[in-house]
Amino acid sequence: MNRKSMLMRAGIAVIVAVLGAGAAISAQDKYTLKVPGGLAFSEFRGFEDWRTVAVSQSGDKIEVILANPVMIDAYRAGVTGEGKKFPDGSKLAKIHWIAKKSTEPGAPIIPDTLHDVDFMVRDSTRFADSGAWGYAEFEYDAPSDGFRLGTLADKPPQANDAKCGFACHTVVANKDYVFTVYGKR
Amino acid sequence: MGRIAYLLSAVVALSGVVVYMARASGEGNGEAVPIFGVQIPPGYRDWKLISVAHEEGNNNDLRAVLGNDVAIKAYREGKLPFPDGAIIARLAWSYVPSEENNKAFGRAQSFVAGAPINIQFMVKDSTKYAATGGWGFAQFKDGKPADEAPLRTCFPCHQPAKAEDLVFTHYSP
Repeated sequence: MNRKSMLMRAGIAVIVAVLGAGAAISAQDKYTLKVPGGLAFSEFRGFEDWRTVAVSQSGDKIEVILANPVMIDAYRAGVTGEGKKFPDGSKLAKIHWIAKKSTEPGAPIIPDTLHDVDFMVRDSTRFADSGAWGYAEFEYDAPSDGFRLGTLADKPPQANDAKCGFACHTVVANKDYVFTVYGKR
Repeated sequence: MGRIAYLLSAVVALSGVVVYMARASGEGNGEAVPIFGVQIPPGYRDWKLISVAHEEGNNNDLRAVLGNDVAIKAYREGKLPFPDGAIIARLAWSYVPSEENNKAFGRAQSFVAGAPINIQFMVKDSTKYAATGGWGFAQFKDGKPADEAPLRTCFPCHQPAKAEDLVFTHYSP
């Protein structure tokens, strides 16, 4: 091997190592993300393991709604609908994927790439001025396999404050600002 | 009312409550399906998520695919074939438009899970179900097991997924 090709190999190795480290860092980094004055991604650590509330589809996306044990218990106790309220400590996660048509039999619409994850947490003291709920949206960035804060340029637009979901969720203020109903068996 | 009749009515009422609670919390068991003898696995409604889908075919449904701990571990580690003990659950609900959500979006684009349609299970036991690729198949509607005829179609229909141990659903990160 001549000197030039050796150098080139070393260079490629360094680039690969840097890219690899970069991806690993951004994947880890989601837990350092925080809505200014609002929710941190780390408050939802382990949401991937939460239980399923329901499934929905909206435009070009398909989504699942998961809830922490406090909220699942409340759902099961019948807290859903007119005038009922979830207890403080309730947490909801919504995962949006870009939908695609599967090539498998029946051609179902299935998740393709992750698009964003949204969170709601109920804390009547901390979020007293937004219906007792705090909201956060984290947009998935495929190239870095990481996340970033949702902005006004995203769909739906999300200002960087703890109230990003409040305006939309006011439609269901009579149901404690929660759209999703627990999917029965 | 005599003392015995009173006691009896109390017991009947109580057992009604117990049955109701068992159903409400997604507890399983009950009648088994023909051919494979699979019962509804207790607690399946609490299993972790594998993926979701919208099938436009006969059911026109929205579905969640959940896995027990053995199945989830195998999915996350990318292990094939699935080990014995893995169970995959498919819960289907009717695909209904949500006026409430559309109000928030400002246009008609949202569909949510409505009434339950049915639930299906795949149970891995490479000895017991050796004749059907190691999988036992089951379907229940309102807790009632499906007839033999539809269950006979499961194994042949899953053949296109042979390279993935007969499982269509991929893990959605």
